[in-house]
Amino acid sequence: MVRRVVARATPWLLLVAPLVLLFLFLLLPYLLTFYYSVTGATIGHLSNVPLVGSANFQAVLTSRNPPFPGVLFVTAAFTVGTLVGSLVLGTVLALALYTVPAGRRSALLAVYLIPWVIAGVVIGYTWKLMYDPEIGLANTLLEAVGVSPVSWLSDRATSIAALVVANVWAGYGIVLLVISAALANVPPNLILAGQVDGAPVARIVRRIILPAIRPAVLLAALVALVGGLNTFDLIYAMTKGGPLYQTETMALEMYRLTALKGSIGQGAAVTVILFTISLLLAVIYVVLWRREARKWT
Amino acid sequence: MNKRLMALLSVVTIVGSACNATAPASQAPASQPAATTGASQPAASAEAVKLVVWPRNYTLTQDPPFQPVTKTWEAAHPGVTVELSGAPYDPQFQRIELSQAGQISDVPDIVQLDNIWLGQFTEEKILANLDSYYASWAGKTDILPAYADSTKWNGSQQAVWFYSDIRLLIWNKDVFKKAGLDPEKGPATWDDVMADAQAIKEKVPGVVPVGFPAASQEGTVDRWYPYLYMTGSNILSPDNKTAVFNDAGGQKAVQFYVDLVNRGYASKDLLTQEADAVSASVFSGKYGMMLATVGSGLSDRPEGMTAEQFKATIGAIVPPICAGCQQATVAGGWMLGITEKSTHKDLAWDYIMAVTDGAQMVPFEDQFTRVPVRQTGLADPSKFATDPYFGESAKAAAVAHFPPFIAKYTGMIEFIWTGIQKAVNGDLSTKDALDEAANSVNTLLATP
Repeated sequence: MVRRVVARATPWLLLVAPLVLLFLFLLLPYLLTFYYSVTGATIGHLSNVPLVGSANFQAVLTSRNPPFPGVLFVTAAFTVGTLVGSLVLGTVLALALYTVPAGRRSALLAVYLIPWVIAGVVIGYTWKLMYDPEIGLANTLLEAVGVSPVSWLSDRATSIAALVVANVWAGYGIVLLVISAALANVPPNLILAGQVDGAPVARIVRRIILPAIRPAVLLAALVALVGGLNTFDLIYAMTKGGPLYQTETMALEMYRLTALKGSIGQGAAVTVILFTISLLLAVIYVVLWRREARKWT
Repeated sequence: MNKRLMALLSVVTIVGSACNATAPASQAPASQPAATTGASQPAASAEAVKLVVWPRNYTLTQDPPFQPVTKTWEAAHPGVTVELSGAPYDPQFQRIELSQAGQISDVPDIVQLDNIWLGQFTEEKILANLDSYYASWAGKTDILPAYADSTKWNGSQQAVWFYSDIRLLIWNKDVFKKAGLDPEKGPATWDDVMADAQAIKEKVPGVVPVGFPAASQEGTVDRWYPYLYMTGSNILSPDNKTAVFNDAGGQKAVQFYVDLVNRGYASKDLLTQEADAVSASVFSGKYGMMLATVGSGLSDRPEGMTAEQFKATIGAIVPPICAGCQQATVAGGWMLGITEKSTHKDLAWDYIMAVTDGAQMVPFEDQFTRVPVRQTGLADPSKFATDPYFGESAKAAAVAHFPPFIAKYTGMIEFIWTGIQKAVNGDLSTKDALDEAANSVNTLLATP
């Protein structure tokens, strides 16, 4: 009897510690964020805070400094740019590595993964130097081909693109890793059959390899999307969301409101909005995933 | 089952990552530098007493101002130990606020505060009223009047000046030489700035003649205020209830920046540059001149640069003035305050007196080119031999202004720097940019 109780209880006892940790460090902060979003909490006043209803959301959505649609646009542009850039660069590099003999492939893969393991802040400051209008590599290269220097990080037209390039460089590694792993599982017979039939490389890639690695591409896209949506350190190091909020993403807006202005309530409201957007993206992802899964079965 | 599990995990990954990336601000304070408190024990008790002091981090990496005096003070106070716990700028502000809010259990007895935090900390009842201590403090008359006034809030003394920094115009002597200018003579007026900038633009290719911080940070407004004050304008009305920086004087001060950009003497790239970066660029010769903080002038010189090399490289002068304007500049710096929650206020005051004592502070002020806040210090230049521009600092200290000490100051300056940025970037006219900023400030000030 005792033995049976112990046997039944053991899995739950083993789960208690991780569940408590999960609650304390994941679920509780989520719940607190939702709670704070409807309160007038500030950094100096976090307990017994008054409920303010939707006032924080109204303040965020109607803010003029910066206008919320602008923040949303910058977040979307940066995320989409990061997603597309990382996916294209990571996939192309993975396909290129696929043509290299296995021994050299591992060494090259390790080299290409270096940016991915470097801290975002370091990458941010490095790229900031590259974009420096006077001494930066970017303008030096432009001048070498007779093009006038560009104010990469202060010009509205180029600042988001400049950040995207830096973030793609920082984040393509994970896409490369996922796609490389998937490519290793593509049956060589299929490719051989295509080659025997005289199909050109582009067609083999398009018709055989890419369809075979679609689930991996979907996974890599998810990771790149999340990476883009959540990027904070790199943007903070390069522009701090400026000038004039033109590179202010929702992650930076949350930080600015919470940590710099001390408005925990408004910062939490931005977080809830971002949460909602993430949830919508998650639903879209699940729909796509299930559609893909049906094909496997 | 596996597919469902993967889908579920994916949802958790997306949503969880989004929240983790954006939510930590409410959790971040927990990771602030910690200090154990002994403040709950009365000073009169026979038990050991720990005086918890929260200074800025960099003051602990050098001998003065804390290290030697703390040992001496502890020796003179048996049973009392001083615990020093440093923090960088933003975490310093946050940990003081969080301690007051009870979100962290650590309670300091003494905090080092930026002068711009005084109003907020006083209104939030973080700082104890020090009037009774000031009443019996013989040394209070030694504090420069402008400085002594700036530790007051609503007529009551809330802190003690620790050390100060002041805004002077600095220039790179090599750049001036190459431009055919006298490297020992800085521009005294705005017209001189324009003339010198033109010479640099013409004769020193690759160098931006003038720099000023214009990024989204406090340094942007701080370096602009001297130009504002010298026109006779101010930031707020005398009752601190209305913005006045958008008057004719304020517009003139911003137009100075706009003109520098429009004439090609300054670059719009400054919109991404903070004060320290611009200062470093003057040192390196990338920029010709800027209004800088002295205190981050000599002390921020590149690693290995001696005071002599500093003098040979950089010149400094009180801020150049506009036609018909009065000499003015802005001072900032750090104060020490006793927290309302401290149960060792007498000991804390005694310790503050020991640390901020004029003679004890001189080596620190000399070594790091801080501006003395005491008249006896300013009167004895021989003790400040390290600072080649001590005379200019002393002149500037006599015309120093301070930003308004109100709780909403740290919130309202974002509107001011945004206004400056919009004018410099050409998004709005100078008047419209400042009017928009003033409207936002007025709305903020009117909000309970």
